[in-house]
Amino acid sequence: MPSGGYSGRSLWVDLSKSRVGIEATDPEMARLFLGGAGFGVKLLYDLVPPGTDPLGPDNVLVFAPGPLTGSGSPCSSRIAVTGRSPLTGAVGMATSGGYFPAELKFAGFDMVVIQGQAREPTTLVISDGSAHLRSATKLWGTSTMDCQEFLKEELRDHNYRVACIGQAGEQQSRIAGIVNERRAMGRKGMGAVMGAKRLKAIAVRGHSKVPIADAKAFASERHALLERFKKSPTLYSGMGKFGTSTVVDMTCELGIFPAKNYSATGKFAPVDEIGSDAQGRDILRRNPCQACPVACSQVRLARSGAFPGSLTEGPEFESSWALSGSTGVTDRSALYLADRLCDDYGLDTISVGATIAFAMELFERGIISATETEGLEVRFGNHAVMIELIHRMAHRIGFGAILADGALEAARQIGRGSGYYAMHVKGLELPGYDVRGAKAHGLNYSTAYVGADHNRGYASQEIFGGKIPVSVDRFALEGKAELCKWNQVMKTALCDCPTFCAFLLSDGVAFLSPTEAGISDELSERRVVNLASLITAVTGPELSPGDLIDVGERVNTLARSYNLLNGFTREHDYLPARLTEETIPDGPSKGHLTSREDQDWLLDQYYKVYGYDLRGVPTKATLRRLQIEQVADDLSKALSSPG
Amino acid sequence: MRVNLRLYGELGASAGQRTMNVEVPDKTTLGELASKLRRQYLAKRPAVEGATDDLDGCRVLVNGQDAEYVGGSLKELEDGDTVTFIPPIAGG
Repeated sequence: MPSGGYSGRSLWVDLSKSRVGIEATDPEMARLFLGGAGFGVKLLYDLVPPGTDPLGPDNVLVFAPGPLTGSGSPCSSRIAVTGRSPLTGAVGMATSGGYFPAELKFAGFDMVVIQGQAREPTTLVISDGSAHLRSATKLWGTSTMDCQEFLKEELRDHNYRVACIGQAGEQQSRIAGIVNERRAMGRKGMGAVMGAKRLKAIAVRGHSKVPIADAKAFASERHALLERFKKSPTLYSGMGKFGTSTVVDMTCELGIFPAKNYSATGKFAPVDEIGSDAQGRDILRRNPCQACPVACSQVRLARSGAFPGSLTEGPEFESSWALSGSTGVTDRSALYLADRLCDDYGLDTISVGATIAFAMELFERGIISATETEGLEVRFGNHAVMIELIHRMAHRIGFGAILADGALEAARQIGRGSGYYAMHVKGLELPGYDVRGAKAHGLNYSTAYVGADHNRGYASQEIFGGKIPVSVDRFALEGKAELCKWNQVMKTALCDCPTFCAFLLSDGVAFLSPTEAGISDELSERRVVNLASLITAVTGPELSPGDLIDVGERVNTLARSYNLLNGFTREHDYLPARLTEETIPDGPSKGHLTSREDQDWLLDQYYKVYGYDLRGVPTKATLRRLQIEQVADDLSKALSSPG
Repeated sequence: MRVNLRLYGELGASAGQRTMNVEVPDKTTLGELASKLRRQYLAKRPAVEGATDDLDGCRVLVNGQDAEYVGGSLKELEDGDTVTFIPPIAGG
């Protein structure tokens, strides 16, 4: 095992047998997959056979921070939770920050693997190298905030850090997330998996230090990184001051703020109501993650509006979009209350907002009526109805029960052509960028291994005008397959596995040689020399820049392979039909769409640059190059022989 | 001629308003407008290290299109154009 970054101990929990065990962390897995999402995807592939019921006892939940987590490296307190998603049937992986990730390392574990299904509500308590299970019967039914508070009281130690589900996870809502502090591993229904396992919470407390292999080299690399932070024109002055609310400004100005379920992009751009100026007036305090000097996360309080007194951490850009732009709601107090309710109930804000917006469009079009909504006027802009629907979704009450499993499932139940208005890829609702006006971002939506997740390959070049690795015309198709792969691989390699905050990528501060344009392997490796050195300083064994980049490509390819074994095909790598048939109706991106033919071409290019065949199946040569050649046999058996 | 300005971040804060309609000489280029704004609103601020333009790496849009792809700093503005300046941001 590497001499630093890892304790070498992993916690394995079988809830069916009420058994907790400690096993050595596999050093080969650490070498090839680093940690975080890498560990999660690897173990999901190995432990959960294709076709496994995501809500059954045979699914797995892998909670994995990375070797950097807890090391003192800035912005590294991140954790990935991985399992088979009940929302999509594909790989489910969600990440979060805060203090819980670092605390798990301080408690002496590299990861926690949850298997089986408890008979009764259960809590896992981890403390300084040991763990035990205890009844959560009294906690069942509580919100995530109350659960955290009560559990700490039960344990008589308020320094525990807790990740838990709320009522939505208990109800196995397929859009339920897992909440730690006021952060969320929100997307893909991982809260439903936890609820199905009857695992209410994980409480963690630790006092050990994460071992550092080369303290001197680490101090030097850390210092150099922090110096880059200081020179960044965005981190302290932008992220630290306004958080992600500035993205509302940018997307509205670009005409890609998807309004009213993607029906009114460019027509409805509520910068004045929910942009950075407006949200900036409501900031109460900052709430940084562990070891983060930037503190982009802010607590906001509404002092007026329909729901004065509403307080929430955030809302981050995506939540602002989903619960405002998508639903047509402009009252900030309603936005804050909706965001807070989602956190309390343990619901994913993006899926909630997108699914309510879907219902609003159906109502406006007369596809559903007040008879089906128990009299609710489910119209765009109706903030009271939005709030009411969140309550009903969390508890599966009436019409809320139809929406509680996301837009695709709601469309299946409603029928009547409603599926056209369910904006999703692979069952995961689209986030807050109208990708008809941002082609690499759109290609990431359509190909990301978890479904339409902006964070698996964020095209900051298109959204923020970033120049790393190249500056691009956001409407152009040429070069976007290469760029999409670059973004996806870098995100997985630099953020999801080591682990590291994604905002340092979109800001560009993570990369060296920022003024040199180009996407070659040689230049890409030069850009990440600093992070490879940082990880090497923490862990010990030399990790070359090329090795680090390979981790990203390996994890993404293994995850794609898992999806293929679960029945996913090229046909699942397309955007919703609406984005291929309807143009953006107004604003700076008016008239743009991404046609089916455009997507055909983009996918051909994308598969080629990844080393996949035209079905999107990794070739044997690619799998061999990535040192996961055993996957070829699995694919051969399940599909016709891979290229 | 008159152009519409949309100013975000420090630029807007210094100007005291985020949107304005201003008179500029005919054939004013984007680069000339940016220089004027810097002199007017960001004179006291030291330039950001590495910034290659007058507005510290602001993203500049002309009628919602990236300035870089509609002529850059040499782009001659037209009456009624909307020019947006957004400071460098990240997130998502």
